[in-house]
Amino acid sequence: MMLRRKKLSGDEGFDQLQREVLLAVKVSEEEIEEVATSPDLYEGVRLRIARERRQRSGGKVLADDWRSADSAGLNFIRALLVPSRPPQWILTAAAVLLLVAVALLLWLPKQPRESSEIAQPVIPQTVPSRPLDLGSRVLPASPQKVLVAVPLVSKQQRRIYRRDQPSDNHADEIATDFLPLTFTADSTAPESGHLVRVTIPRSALLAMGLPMNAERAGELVRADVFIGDDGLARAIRFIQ
Amino acid sequence: MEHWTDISGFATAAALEPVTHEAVDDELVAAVRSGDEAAFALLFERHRRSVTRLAYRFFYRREQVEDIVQESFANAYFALGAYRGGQERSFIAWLSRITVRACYDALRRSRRAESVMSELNQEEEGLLAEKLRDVGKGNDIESAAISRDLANKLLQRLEPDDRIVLTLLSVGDLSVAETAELTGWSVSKVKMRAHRARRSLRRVLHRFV
Repeated sequence: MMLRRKKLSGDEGFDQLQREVLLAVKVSEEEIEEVATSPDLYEGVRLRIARERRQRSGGKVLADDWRSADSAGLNFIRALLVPSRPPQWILTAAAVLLLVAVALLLWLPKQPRESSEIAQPVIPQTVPSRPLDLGSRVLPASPQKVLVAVPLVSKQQRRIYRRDQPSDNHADEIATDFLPLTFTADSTAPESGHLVRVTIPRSALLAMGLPMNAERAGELVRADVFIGDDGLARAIRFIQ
Repeated sequence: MEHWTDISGFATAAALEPVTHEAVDDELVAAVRSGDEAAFALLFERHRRSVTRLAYRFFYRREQVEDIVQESFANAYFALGAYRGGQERSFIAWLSRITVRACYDALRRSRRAESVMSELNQEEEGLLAEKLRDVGKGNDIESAAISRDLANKLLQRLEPDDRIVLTLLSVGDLSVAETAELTGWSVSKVKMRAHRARRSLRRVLHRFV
């Protein structure tokens, strides 16, 4: 009983001590007033707001986003853009989306190759593996039959392929022979692929390992790019 | 182009008006939303004392308090789109919650950065033990200042969550429900935290007494 009373008395003493310690951090109203009425205080707020605005506009966020932030949509966007503490569910959703994207990337490239292996015999590639004659010539009426052999697997793939092909009204076009893209022209060259018509700046030719006239770097050129089934560009020809 | 207004005249203007009406705050918020920067200056003028008082509950250095006040108002400025007027809570309650959040974040940062600085040296430990024995007996300014400094160093040893709850409940004289409202925590979490915080503080005090 004595022990319990002593313990109780000790507890009460500590409670009192705790209260005293906690109350010791209180400051007087004079000190609060002195800080609150400091002339620099609002200037600091103003500077912080200006700095935050600059950061947000740098991050492609509207400077006065709160003005139109009544809608739930913008509140959501603002929540996404706040860097300090993203909600847990956003992180989870981002992780799930990332996983789905990776899974799709891994799955999609396999699909056409698998179907072509099953359905079609491979037509030999006609892209030359040595430097080609750069002399121009007139394209035949159906250039894809001569220049590139592409496996036609299913109706769906045929539709896709037709979309890629130069149409008959390209008969008056002048095309160079195919130039092998040296960085991929190796022993693993594909036996089939797609022909894609592109318009690219001359400066992009450098990236393909082709010579380029620096004075005409800004000009656009039309070209047909032969892309193997592995997705790599294998050869290019230029169209006039 | 930003248009900021010198607010030195607002103090007088605010004093002349019948202030502390929530409707006035809501009108000012609406004005800020429509692009009136001067209205925000007036909001600042009306509530800077409350925010400063709240910041002083957690920090004792003047520069820390000023930092919290500025951060709280800047955060409030960019969060005004989320303020729902009288539908949910008053502007000052909303602003207080932002301030408590800023204090909480700053406590966590300072706990990481200043853990070494907050350690007491041998002399301070002796002084603290002496002060704790005589706590409440001295009334002079110097004694109060020393007590405050030591108490703050003592409280820095608590987890930020514990410190927030203890301060709001014991220093701010708030109820559990009010503390829950300010922190955004549930009532049960506040109760649990308060219990743990008192136990932690007692452990700290045991070292010196």
